[in-house]
Formats: sequence, structure tokens, C-alpha cells
Amino acid sequence: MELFKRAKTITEICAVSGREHVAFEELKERFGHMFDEIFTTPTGSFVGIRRCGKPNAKSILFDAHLDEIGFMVKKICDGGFLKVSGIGGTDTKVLSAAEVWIHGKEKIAGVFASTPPHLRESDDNEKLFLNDMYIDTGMSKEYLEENTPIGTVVTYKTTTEKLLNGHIVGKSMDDKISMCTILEAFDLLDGEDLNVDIIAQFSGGEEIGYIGATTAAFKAAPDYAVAIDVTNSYIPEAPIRKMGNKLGGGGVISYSGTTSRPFTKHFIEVLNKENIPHQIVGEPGRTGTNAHVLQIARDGIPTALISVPLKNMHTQAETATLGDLENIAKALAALAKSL
Amino acid sequence: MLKLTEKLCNLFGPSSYEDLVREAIIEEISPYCEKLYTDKVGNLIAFKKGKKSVEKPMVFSAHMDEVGVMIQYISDDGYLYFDTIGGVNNSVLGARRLIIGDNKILGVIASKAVHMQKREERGKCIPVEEMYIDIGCTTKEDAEKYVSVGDLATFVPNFEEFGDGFVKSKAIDDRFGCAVLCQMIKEDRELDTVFVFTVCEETGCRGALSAAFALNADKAVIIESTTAGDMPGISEARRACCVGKGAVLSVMDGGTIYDRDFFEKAVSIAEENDVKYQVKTTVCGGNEARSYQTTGNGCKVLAISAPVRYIHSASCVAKTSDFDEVLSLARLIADNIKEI
Repeated sequence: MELFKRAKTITEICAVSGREHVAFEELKERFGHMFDEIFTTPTGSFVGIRRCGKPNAKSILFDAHLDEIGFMVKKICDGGFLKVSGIGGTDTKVLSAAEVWIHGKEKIAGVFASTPPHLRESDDNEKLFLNDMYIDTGMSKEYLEENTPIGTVVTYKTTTEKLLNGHIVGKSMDDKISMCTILEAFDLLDGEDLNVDIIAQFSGGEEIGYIGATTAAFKAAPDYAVAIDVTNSYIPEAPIRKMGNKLGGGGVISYSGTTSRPFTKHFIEVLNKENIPHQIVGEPGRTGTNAHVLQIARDGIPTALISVPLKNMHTQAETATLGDLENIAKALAALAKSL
Repeated sequence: MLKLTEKLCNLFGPSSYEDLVREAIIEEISPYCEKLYTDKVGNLIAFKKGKKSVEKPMVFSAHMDEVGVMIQYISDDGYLYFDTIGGVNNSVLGARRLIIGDNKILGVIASKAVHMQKREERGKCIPVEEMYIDIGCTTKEDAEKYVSVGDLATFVPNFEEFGDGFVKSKAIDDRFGCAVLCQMIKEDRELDTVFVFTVCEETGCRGALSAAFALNADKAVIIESTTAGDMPGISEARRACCVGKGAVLSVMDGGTIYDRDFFEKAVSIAEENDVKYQVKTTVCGGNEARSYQTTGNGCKVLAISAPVRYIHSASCVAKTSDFDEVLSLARLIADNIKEI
């Protein structure tokens, strides 16, 4: 599948933390043929394994999280409005007039209400938080009570499109775009003689505390793991420490105090040898990714982290480049071949 | 009319760049009017012969332009800095997608990730002067191949039926009004009537000034969209008007005190004909009525508006039944009022 088309297909899937299972059927249908074995877990992870065919082979697990941030209905109000809680770290300043899907018994569209400027208390310094916001559905309260009861999940409603120079924009690039890099790597490794089994883990619940990765990695029990996530890249108003990490520069490999330094070093050496573009970032503490828990799963799994440089994270306008996705796919394939 | 409203809403037409909207309207109405011309500033004016001729035909006016942004500076990093054209609140701009310039380039208004915001920045909408658009270029040189300073941009087309009898779109203000006028032109009218599709309402009701002077009418009706504040958290007294409660008649707004006789006549026509209407309850906003009222000898003015939520955003929400009520009332007024 062409890379943009694959990226569009995957990022347009709506799978909020805690409700990832809604995507399982589609994943199985579209990508099931790429794996020898598939299993899903009760905590929302989808895992596909491709065996190398060699006895007692070791395995490497590539993890990207399937879940995305979103909202959950917490109150149904008069006039067809819904009040919602956030699932994951939503950015409330971009919600006014944002379009959403409300995944009720019937999927319906909604718009975050935006208070007209002349009806606001103060204009410039106003802060917008979910507690003060409502989603307009254009439906009756009775309909909403029946169709979108409390607990119904809500996602951004948008499509993934191309900007210039291979940039793409859409929702939930975090982290579905990384699923794309894993699938691309599997394509690159198609027919290759490998010494390791390769495992694609699309884990649930990352945005609410790495729940899916913890449990799925326990079951998959790999010998090595690489978490593929997204990372905030350089923008004009970012701190200077972000300068080294730009869209288009390749995957960002993290040296962290919470991942495996020897395995990370090995990864970087492989990429240098193969001339695969990449960038390096130093993250002494938490990486805020599944790498944090993969490293300490079971009796410990040497784990590295590579991220897609991303702008506007956790908005409906997350922006990445196709070139970075290609380079990360190449990096993962080269790493698998090196073992 | 809804199909035409959709077509017009989806067109690119920020103030001073109404050309595409005008072309579409000309195509739509030219078989149905006796005289059709574009004036020196770009207003489109149509004369419709009625069954009876009148000395001073009534004018119906709606504006073709929509709010948007204009590119002011392209940075070394290839980002586009801008200011709004017309009144767009900064809170509805973050992370929105825009269509930019003659080349119709897709861009997105950047928004620093929540992870990189300081505590005091959380939830705070970025001021327009600090916002910028990302089109996927990383150098000024590259960006300038596609976009120039002075280029205009609007929200991406997104008209859609929504909820139970609602629509959602950019630019309902005032492509809906344009669609009402087109519909009236296509029908037979009792009396001679003039229809004006104006430019540059959003930058100060400027197009209407030229049209008002040239036409020297004594009665003008503005077909508009007006802010509906009927949402939770806003007290009933401050809602101005409500979606679903019919055509909005204004006594007074931020720009105009409407003609009392004209207003009362409109109310009685609505009452007699069972047209659902409401009276705007706050003094806010403004429209081209002021341009007609204060040009030349002056003119009696009336505004009939559709109540629209989240006006001047990418996702205006309106109810189609209100559109129908506005059209019904406009028709009745056009066909029944000779003198006030």
C-alpha cells in the first residue's frame, strides 16, 4: 500500500484509550495477512507475529500505540449539548469550533461550542477548559439520552491530508503514524532471511498510563523491544534544546535513563553503518512513551525508543513528514536484520 | 435553496476576493433577471421585473464576502504570519486548516503542543499576532514559491447536514443570504425588486456604501446571519436569538436603529402569515443596514437574519427551518410592501 494512503487509512481510524477494540476487526482485515499469528489482549492491544522459521529464534518487538486521545460524554444537557471529560492530555485551547465524532449507538457529528466574543467575560486572557465547554450535536436531549449515554467516546472529526513537501496533517498521528512505520518495516523485511521473529504490537491505553504495552509485552515476551512514538519537534517558540530535532531529519532516537543504553547504541551504530538518516535526543528521565514500561516488563526487556518528529501534538492538526516515516521503517528493518 | 447554500458556502471568498462567489451567483441567476451588472467596486446588482412596476423598487442586500486571514510575513523557517480579515476571534483559529491564496495551498495554523506549554499557558488561546501557518515548507524561499504576502486564506470547505435539521459550515454568514436572494430572483415577483450582492461587508460594510449611493433606494432589506447565543452557560437574557425559533428581526444593533414602521410592518406580515420570527434581544453586532441608512438621502432599513451559532468560525451551526422562515418573510415583504 502506498505510504500516504496507509498513513491516511490508519490515522483516520478512531480508537480512543480504553476503546481500542473497535479497531481490531479493521486491523485484522487490512493487515492480518502480514502476520503468521495474531492475538489481542483484554487491555486493548493488537499483536501480530511473523516467525523467521528458525528453531529457538529470539524475537524483537516493535511497539506503537493504537489508542488516541479523545473525550467521554459525562452529561447530557438541554438543547442538544453534551459535556465531556478528556481522555488523555487534550489541548483545550484549540477546541472552540472543532468538529468531533460522537461514537454513540449511531455515530453522529458534533461541534465544540464557541462562546461569541461579545458574550465573554473578558476576551484576551480567557482560558478555555473542558469544564466550561460543550459539544453541540443539533439533536434533541431525548435522542442523546438514548443514543449517546454517559460514557460514550468522542474523537476529533477530520481527515488526513497532504501539505507541501511530503508533510501530512491529521488527527491521532500520535501514535497511529508509528503503526505505519512498523507495517512499512514488515514490508521491507518481506522475504528477508532473518534470525529473529518480529512482533508488531499495537498497544492500547498508552495515553492513560501505558496499560496495554505492559500487559501485551508480558504475553509476547520478546528478547528486545523498540517503542516507536512521536516527539515534539522544533518550532519557533520551543526551547533551544529542541533545536536538534526537526521534521524531515529522520527518526529521533532517544538516549534515556529509563531505556537500554547498550541496545540504543547498537541501534545507532546500525543506522550509521547503513546511512539511514536519524536524529538523537537526550531524555534523562521519563520518555512519556511505552519504552518506559517495556524496559521493565517480565524480567526486563532491553528497549530502545525511536520517535517520529511531530508538530501540534494532541491537536486535530498533528503534522509529520512521510520521509521520516520511511526512514524509521528502514531503521527498524535494519535493526531486525542486525540481530 | 439548501443545495445552493452548500455550493456558495464552500466557495473561497474572503473580503476583497469575492470573484468566485460572484461568478457562481451570475451563473445561477442570469436567466432570471432583466438587468445584471457588476459595479466599480465589485458588487453584483440584479434588477428583477415584477408583475407590477414601481417607481422606487425595494432593495434586498446580502454580502458575498466571508471572514478569513491575510498573510503578512513569511519567516525564514517558511511559516506564514497573518492577521484576520474581518472579525475572527483567536479562540477559533488554533489548529484550524486553511486554503491559502490563488494557488489554493492547504495550510494549518500551528499550535504549540500541550506538553510544551507552561502551566500558565494551558488553555489560553494564542493571540493572533503570535500564530502562524504551516504549509509544509521549511524555508522562506520555498514558501514564496507558493504563497505571497497579501494572499488571503479562508477555512477549508466543510458544509454538511448535521444533527436533526441543522447544517454546519464555514461562511454561512452570509452565503446563506446570497442563496435567499438567488431563490427570490428565480421566482416570479409581484413588484419590481433590486437585489444586491455586496463585497467587503466584513471589513466595514464598505461595498454596500457604493451600491446604496448608486441605487438611491428608499427601502432596503438586509438578509444576514446573526449570532445566536443559545448555548449552555449563557443566560437567556444574553442569547440575542435562538436557533430554531425562526427569522430574526432587529430593532437595534451595534450599527443601526432600524426604521420603526418597517419593523412593525414586517412583524405584522409575519404574524398574519404564520411566519415564525423572533426579535433580537441584545444590542450587538451590525450589518450593511447602516451603509444604506446613511448614504445619500438615507433610506428606511430592515434586517431579516438567520440565527447562527459560532458565526465567524470554521463551524457555524444553523437550522434549515430558520433559513426557510427568512426566505418566506423576505418574499412576503418583497411582494406586499410598496410604501411604508
